Amino acid sequence: MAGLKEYLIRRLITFIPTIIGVTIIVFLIANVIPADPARAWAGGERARPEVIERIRKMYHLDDPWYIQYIFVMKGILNYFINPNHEGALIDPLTSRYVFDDIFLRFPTTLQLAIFAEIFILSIGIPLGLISALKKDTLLDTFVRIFALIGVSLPIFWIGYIFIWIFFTNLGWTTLAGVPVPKCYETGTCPITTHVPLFDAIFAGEFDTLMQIIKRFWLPGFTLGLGYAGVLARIVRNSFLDALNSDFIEFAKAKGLPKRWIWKHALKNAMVPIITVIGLQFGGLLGGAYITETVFGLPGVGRYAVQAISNLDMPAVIGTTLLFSFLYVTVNLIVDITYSIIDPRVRY
Amino acid sequence: MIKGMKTLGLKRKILEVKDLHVHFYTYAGVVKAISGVSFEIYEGETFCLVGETGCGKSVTSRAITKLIESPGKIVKGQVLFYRDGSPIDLLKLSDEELRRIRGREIAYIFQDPTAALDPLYSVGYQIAETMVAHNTATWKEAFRRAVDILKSVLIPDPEKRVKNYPHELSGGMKQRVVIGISLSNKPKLLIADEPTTAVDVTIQAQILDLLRKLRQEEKMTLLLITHNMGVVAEMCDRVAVMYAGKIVEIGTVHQIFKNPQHPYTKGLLKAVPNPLIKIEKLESIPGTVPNLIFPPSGCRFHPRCPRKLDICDKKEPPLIEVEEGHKVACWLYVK
Amino acid sequence: MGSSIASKETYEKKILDRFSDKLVDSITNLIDKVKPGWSERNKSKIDEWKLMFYAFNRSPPGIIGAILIISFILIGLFGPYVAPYSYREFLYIEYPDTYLVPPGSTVTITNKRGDIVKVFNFPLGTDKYGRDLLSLILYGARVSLIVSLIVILLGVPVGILLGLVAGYFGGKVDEVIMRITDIFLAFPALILAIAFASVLPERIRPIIIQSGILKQVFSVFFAADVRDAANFAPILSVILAIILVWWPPYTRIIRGSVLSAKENLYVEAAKALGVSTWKILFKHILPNIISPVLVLITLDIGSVILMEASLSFLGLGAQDPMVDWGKIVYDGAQYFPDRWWLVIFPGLATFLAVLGWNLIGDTLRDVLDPRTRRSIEFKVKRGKAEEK
Repeated sequence: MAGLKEYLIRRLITFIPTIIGVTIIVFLIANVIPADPARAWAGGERARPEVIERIRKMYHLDDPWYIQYIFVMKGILNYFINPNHEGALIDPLTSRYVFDDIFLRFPTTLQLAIFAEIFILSIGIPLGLISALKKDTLLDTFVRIFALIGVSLPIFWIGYIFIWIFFTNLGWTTLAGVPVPKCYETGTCPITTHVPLFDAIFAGEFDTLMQIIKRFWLPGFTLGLGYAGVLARIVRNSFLDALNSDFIEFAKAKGLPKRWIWKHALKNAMVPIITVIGLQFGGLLGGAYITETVFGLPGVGRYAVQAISNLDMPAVIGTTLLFSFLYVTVNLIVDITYSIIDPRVRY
Repeated sequence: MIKGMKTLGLKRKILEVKDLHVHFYTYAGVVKAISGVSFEIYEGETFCLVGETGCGKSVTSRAITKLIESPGKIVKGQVLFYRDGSPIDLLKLSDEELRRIRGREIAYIFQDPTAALDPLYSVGYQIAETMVAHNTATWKEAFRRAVDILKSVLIPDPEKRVKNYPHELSGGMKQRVVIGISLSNKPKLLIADEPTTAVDVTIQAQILDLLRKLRQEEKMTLLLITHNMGVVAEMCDRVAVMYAGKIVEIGTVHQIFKNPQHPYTKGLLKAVPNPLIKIEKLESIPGTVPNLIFPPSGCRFHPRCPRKLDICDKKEPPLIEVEEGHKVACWLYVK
Repeated sequence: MGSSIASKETYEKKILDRFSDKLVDSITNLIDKVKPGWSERNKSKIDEWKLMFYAFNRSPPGIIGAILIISFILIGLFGPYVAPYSYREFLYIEYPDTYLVPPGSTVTITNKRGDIVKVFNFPLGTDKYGRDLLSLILYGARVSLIVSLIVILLGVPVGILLGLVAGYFGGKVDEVIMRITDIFLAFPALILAIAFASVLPERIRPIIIQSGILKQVFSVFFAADVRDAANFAPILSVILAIILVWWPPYTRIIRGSVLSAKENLYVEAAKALGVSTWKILFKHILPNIISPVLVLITLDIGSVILMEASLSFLGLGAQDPMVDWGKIVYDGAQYFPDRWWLVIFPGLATFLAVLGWNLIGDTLRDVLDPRTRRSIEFKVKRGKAEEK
């Protein structure tokens, strides 16, 4: 376990330059804008000069970019370090803490990603295994075509088609609002994670849970469909690779029962499969905004897109930071899982 | 060497391969990897299959327990396994019946120990599961016995090694583990497919010594597949020489080395230092192993043969006995 | 090699095979004219190419993919010229009856006396400006085609070059390039592209407006009116944005392959013979590691089309009156599902174009991998044997 701790620290250290790089790129992008953000934040053309001037001072807009950069990064750090968020970065448009805004929306995106992941795993893994076991049959071809269609479907298209089928005609889903557990209002939640899905489960609010499922299953399915196809292909190919390896032949020569042989093959196929699942989950969190737009979900992705079009740079930096943090965290979890599965991998 | 000859008539058969044909259906055509291979193995002896790479010796050894994967297929033949004196045709058994024989009564050692061991499981586990799979031990017993097995294959510090993963062991040690796995259920017949090819030269002798020692201790029969005539001379009682999917000569090690008949066997012996005959210089056999999709007509060796007759490319030579227990397939000896 | 020739003889050649043979032959003839004797020296390579085509010709998904992308390219090239209406014909202004008519409608315009003045056919319906949807989709194909071509032609070579340099030279160069690559990879690609695409137009627009040549060139590229020159900027920004997020995976893959390829003996030999570094990179290393990249490129063209349409759907690409597929859906979404055609048809076009590239890429992967190619070829023959 001491090794794990050291490994985590080492990973965190390599994470810092990446974070700095990411945020600097966002800053460079911000500097490309010829428009005056202060004016936009103050309310556009009719903004009063003294308000513009105050905003300019507050966000160090007249200083060189690195001073602005340090100001923003300090503001983000303050949010997490200071118990009352003193000195934390404030969004110029909403006058709230940037990360308050982000964390308000993050549960929606997370729930969307969780629902998508449920579909990805429950479709991708069985289909992949079946097509490996029925290699070169009609079923295998069907899975291949399904995977190719899945990755080719534009979400902004299939999303609307699904809405038409499942909402307009069948009424199996809802499209408005984001359900939250009742215990938020009464203050009786046993555990508060701020993620309605978990809180509803912990509070045992079955009806809220059903509402959440009704609201999220279709966007999750839409988002997950393409990823499920890709996962099915990866599962198929890695399982076949493992089945063709020498140690499986030796296991047969040892007279192991079929199930034991599959166990060996599956465990060996796990490493590439977990990589893909990890990368996909990172992609889900960061790639959800088209789904959020189509299904009217107020998530982080939509927030980021709006922030970009409003030239709301503090919000943009906040969300990019969150996304790259998530990306790196998912990678870290994948690597740790490796080291549990594969004795050759050391941290 | 002499012992092999003497015991020949007294021993009981343990395995009899009759007219075995294995084809591989590849993109380029049907590869006739084995065409009509027949031989017998007697209880307690060491029988060698020898030949160049690609002559079909490995395929033959795997076909014995139907370990042939698609696109390969056993198209014809019988493999009779004598269990308590009565024969059963292994090729007719169900998958489950065969599974019970593999690793229990007939065990294998493969060429590359690094590839044969699952990298994700400890060596102890891989030894133990072989016993548990055949109900010869419970998991608890099996793990305890795994230590003894590692000791018997001369791995130092077995109590610690049993918890090691394959990547933590050297090549030689891994091959010892593979041997240990094969021996864990005390099989009657051990099939060793080029057990020394993938390990360091310095380890090869140790592995062979170990195999010989274990064979005597456990009173096993050994089918050894090799391309190395030196190994044949050192280890075997009887030898079958294979060429292009057929057996061209079969006899005791003494007969083959002292009195080789087939031009191919002679060529093979000239290519390595022969411990029984003094030869001036080593020669190579001209030409290469033929394409088995379109094998040469008649005797498959005729394009490379230094003593080719007119009939050789027209008709296949029969396998005829030239002295007791010594058979050869060559038109030179057909009267 | 001997065995592959042997297998060729056993083939019964079909029409497609003869066609692909001709294609390969004419290409080799062409090379022969430039470099005499080339085909003699590369006989086995040419045979291998022909075999690859045979395998490809026997894969139904590959054929469907080929049909789809050939149609996509032809529509992209000629679509705007055969379109029944221009994307700038806002019929609604003059004829309010053309507002959002459904597919297959014929709108007849009569004057006050009841005489028929004009007849409009709208096979796929119209949008809120009374524009013909079929024509809009044909124009949109051009934008998709140009965007994907430019991204692949500019983005991929950058990625490959950086990967070659990082992998071959190693050390500090490698460290710097890979750090930057990691930073780009740590972004969700679409967010980064959105950020670039939303800030770049302000910078690009003045450049295009001031340059007469650029105006002309891009109006030909996008089959657009020069009057829309200011609107070329957002599309060009989308292209730039996609390029900026597109190279990192290529750099990473190429670097990995170079690392293992440079250990090969032929590279050592070339080095020992004093062959120049660039020649080693481009003549000895690159050709040996390029086939997985070729597969990736074909699959990626589909992803580029998808990303471009997605950015447009978010309102970032084409701006009124210019159109591309994502933009038509973006505009039509508010009328969905009542005026379904505005979402269904452009979305279907996007889907089919992307599917075409993915089918081709997936088949190519099988064809370029010797192991799977063999199994495809083998299946063909076994099938034939069973028929008899």
